[in-house]
Formats: sequence, structure tokens, C-alpha cells
Amino acid sequence: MTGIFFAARGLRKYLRVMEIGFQNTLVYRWNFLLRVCFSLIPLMGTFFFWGAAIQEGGGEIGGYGFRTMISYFLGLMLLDLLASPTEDDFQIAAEIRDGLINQFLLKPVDYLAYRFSMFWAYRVIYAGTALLPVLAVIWFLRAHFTMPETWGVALLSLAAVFLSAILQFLIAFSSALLAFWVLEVSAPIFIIYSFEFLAGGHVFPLDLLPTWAYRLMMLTPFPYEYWFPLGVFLGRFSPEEVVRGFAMQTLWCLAMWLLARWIWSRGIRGYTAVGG
Amino acid sequence: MSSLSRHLRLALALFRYSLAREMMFKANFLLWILVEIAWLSLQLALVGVIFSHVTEVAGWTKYEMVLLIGTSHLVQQLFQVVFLINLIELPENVRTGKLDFALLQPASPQFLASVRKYDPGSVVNCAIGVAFIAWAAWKLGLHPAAWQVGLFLGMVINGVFIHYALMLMIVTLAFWIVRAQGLVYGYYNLFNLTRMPREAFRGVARLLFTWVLPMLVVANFPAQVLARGVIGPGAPLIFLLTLLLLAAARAWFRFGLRFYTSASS
Repeated sequence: MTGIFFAARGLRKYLRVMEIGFQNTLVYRWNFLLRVCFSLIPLMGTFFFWGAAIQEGGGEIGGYGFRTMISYFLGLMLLDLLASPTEDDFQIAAEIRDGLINQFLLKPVDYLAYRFSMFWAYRVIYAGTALLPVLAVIWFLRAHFTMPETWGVALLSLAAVFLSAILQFLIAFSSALLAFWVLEVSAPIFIIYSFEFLAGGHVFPLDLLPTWAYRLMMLTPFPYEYWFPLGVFLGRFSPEEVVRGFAMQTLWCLAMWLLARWIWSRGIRGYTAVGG
Repeated sequence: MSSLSRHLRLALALFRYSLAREMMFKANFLLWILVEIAWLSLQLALVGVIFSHVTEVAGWTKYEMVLLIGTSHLVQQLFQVVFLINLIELPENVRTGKLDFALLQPASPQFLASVRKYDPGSVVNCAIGVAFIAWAAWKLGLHPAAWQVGLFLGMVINGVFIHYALMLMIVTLAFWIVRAQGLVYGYYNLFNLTRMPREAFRGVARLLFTWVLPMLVVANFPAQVLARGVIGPGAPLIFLLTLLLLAAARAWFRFGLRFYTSASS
């Protein structure tokens, strides 16, 4: 019983953190709205560019017709909205650099769990402000948007998006911990982004790659951030591939969690707590 | 001493200062060059993948696309050398009241808000852009005439000023909107369009991004001149348009400045 009591109290603590996160984030709602509106510009580029390419390919490229391709990128936009960290990594790095994590070392609050609660608070507010314009765009392009074939597929996609959010958060968290060793983390973080984007399927659907390159990418955690949930959403995988994909996604979440814990414990050892 | 030569000498002194500053953090200097290479590689990977399935996109062949991306990279990096950091910092300087310092100096506020700091690292990235342009030109077997190279360079510089005018207009919004980082993010999205072939765009979008937000002019026009010796439709008007944009940006910035109230202390 006491175990449950403490667990419940522990959970309440982080719910409170989320509440603070809501209030913090609401200040940025205009910023979020701007971000979403601006992200429609590259979408337009994607629309025309792939349109021209698919026309050239006689109506399809690597099994993607115009409709499927546009659905892929609209799905990517929804995924980014629901599951991608916005500024979490830069905030974490700043908190380490400026010594703001000192308070967490003295209190019974786990920093990873704290940031994880903040991450969800951000997601909720971001999705809340941005969902309407995004849905408006999808409605506007509805002629080019394929909904999942069954409710089952829709639910599976949501589950994959949820796991993707955890994975994306853990990768952002781990890379931000570089701040324990270097003062300026932006450049390394942007380099990691470029790997995530390329190997994750943020630039193009991964199955357009030659088989050897596709296999190589699938060895990294990155396809489970974008490509896997989107592939499930568009029904690009066989049932076996879906099962294997979920297993891999879960495994990568676990591995990244362990990695984050390990980097944190290493970092904290050499941490000098500047400022205060 | 004329105002122009005074401002030029000032710019030179500020560049030397920026270079000295950058050299204090050599590792970071190199890392940022790597960042740009990584992002350029993403674009080239996209071209590689698409052209493994088709031979042309909107009339552009594979190496013409490489040329286009290289040109877009060159324009962006030139812009980054001179203007970008300054414009990015403007919202923060407005929010914290640091802009006071620029306003108190005996130089034009727009000058100090635009070219106070330089990014010497981007010079290296310009060179990478040029290398890709040269590689694509070699692959295409181009032998451009002197007028083509001259016009290409003129259009590249014109493109830098298009970026400058648009970005100045965007960041000027910071006089009204606190916490305007989202605006900077918006700029990057807009820039994405410069490496797309103009012919892929249809209808209103093509008109909009040619004549109002001329993103499809910045790299498309010079790349076309170099690759095909073709001067894009209405190309002479493009230079006029840039002058108009610059004048509009200047007026808008001065208008915004009137709403600057400084901050705290």
C-alpha cells in the first residue's frame, strides 16, 4: 500500500510540473502560431516540387503517387506537431550551463522526469494552438490526403506517434546533456538533427532509397522517429513489419533512456555547478 | 569625409573585430562549418534520391539541380557573412533594450542594426557553394562566356539584397512582438524555396514567389544564366524590384523604430 501511496505522490509532483509547464508555455502561444504558419511555406514547396517530379515519373515515383506523397508530408507535419520537441534541447542545455539544475540535485525531483513532464506540457499547448491551422490546411488539401484505411490502423499510428514522441524526447535530452562538457551545444545539436532528418525520413520517404541504404538507415534509431509512424499511417508495412517495428521502437526507447541516464550520471560527476 | 566612405571603413574595422572574436572559439568555428555542410548534404541526398527515379524535374536535370542548390547556398552564405547574425539579434536587442547602444552611436541605426557583426565562418561555406557550382558546371560541360559569369555574379549579389530586405522587414516586427524568435524560424522556411525550380510552381504561387516575395528569383535566375545562357522572363525588372524592396524595408524599419521604447533601467 505504501508503495502505491508514494507512487501516487510521485506522480502528482510531476503533474504539478506539467501545470507549471502549461503556464510557462502559454506565454509563447503567438510564437507557436507563427511557427506553424511559417511551416506552411516549405509545405507549399514540397507540394509543387514533388508534384513536378511525380509528373515526370509518369504519375508515380518508387510506388508513391502524388496523393500518397502529399499525405506523407501532411502526416509528417501532424507528427511534428504532436511529437517533436520544440526548444526542449536548447532549454535543457541552457539550464545545465547556467547552473539552474543545481536545485534539482538538492530536491527529490528527478530531472529527466521533470523535463519529460515539461515536454508533454509543451506538446499539449503547441498542439492546442497549432492544431486548428494544420487541420485547416489538411482540409484545404483534402483531395490529396489519404486517411488511414481502418480504425485499427489509425489507433496503431497513434501508438507509433506516442512512442516516437518518447524517442524524440530522449534523443533531444541526451544530446542536450553535451552541455556538461562543452559550453556551446548548438552546432553539435544541429549536426545530430541533420542525421535524424536524413535517416529518419524527414526529407523523403525512406523506401525511395536503394535497398542497401534503406537497410543501413533502419539500423539506427532515427527511422522510428518519423518513418515508422508515417509508414504505419499510410499502410506501407506488412503486419509482420508492423509488429517488428513496434518491438524495435520500444527497444530504442529503452536504449535511449538507459543512454540518457548513463550520460546524466557521467555528466553530474564532473559538474561544477556554476552560478546558482 | 563622406558618409559612405566612413561607413565602409567602419564595416572593415568591424569585420576584423568579428574575425578576432571567432578565432577565440576555434572548435565552434569549425563545427558551424560542419553544420552547414551537413544541411547541404541533406539537399544533395534529396536530389540524388529523386534523380535515381526520374531524369528531369520541371525541366531541370540532375546537375542543373546541383547548380541551383549550389547557387542558393552561395547566396545564403554570403547573406550570412554580412547580415544574418545582426538581424537575428535585433529582436533580442529590442526586448532587452540593448538597441540603445546602436542608437547612441554616430552612425545610421539601420547600418548598425544590419552590419555590426560578421560571420567569417560563412566565407568557408561560400567557397563550398562555389565548389558545388563548379562541379555541376564541369559535369554539364559548361563553358560560360564572360557576360554569363558577370550577370551570374550580379544576380547573386542581387539575391543577397533580396534576402536582406525581406529579413529586415520580418525582424522589424520585433518592435511590436516580444519574443520574436519564431520570426527567425520563419525566415529559414522562406529560404527553403530558393532551391526549388521556379517552373515547378504554378499559378498564384509562382507569381507570389517571383514578384512579391522573390524567393524563386534569388537562385533560379543566376543558375539559369550560367547553365543555359537564358535570361529569365522580366529579369531586368528583378533589379528594380530589389531596389523597391530595399526602400520599403528601410521605410518599415524607420517606422518600427518610432515604436522602440527601450527597456527597464
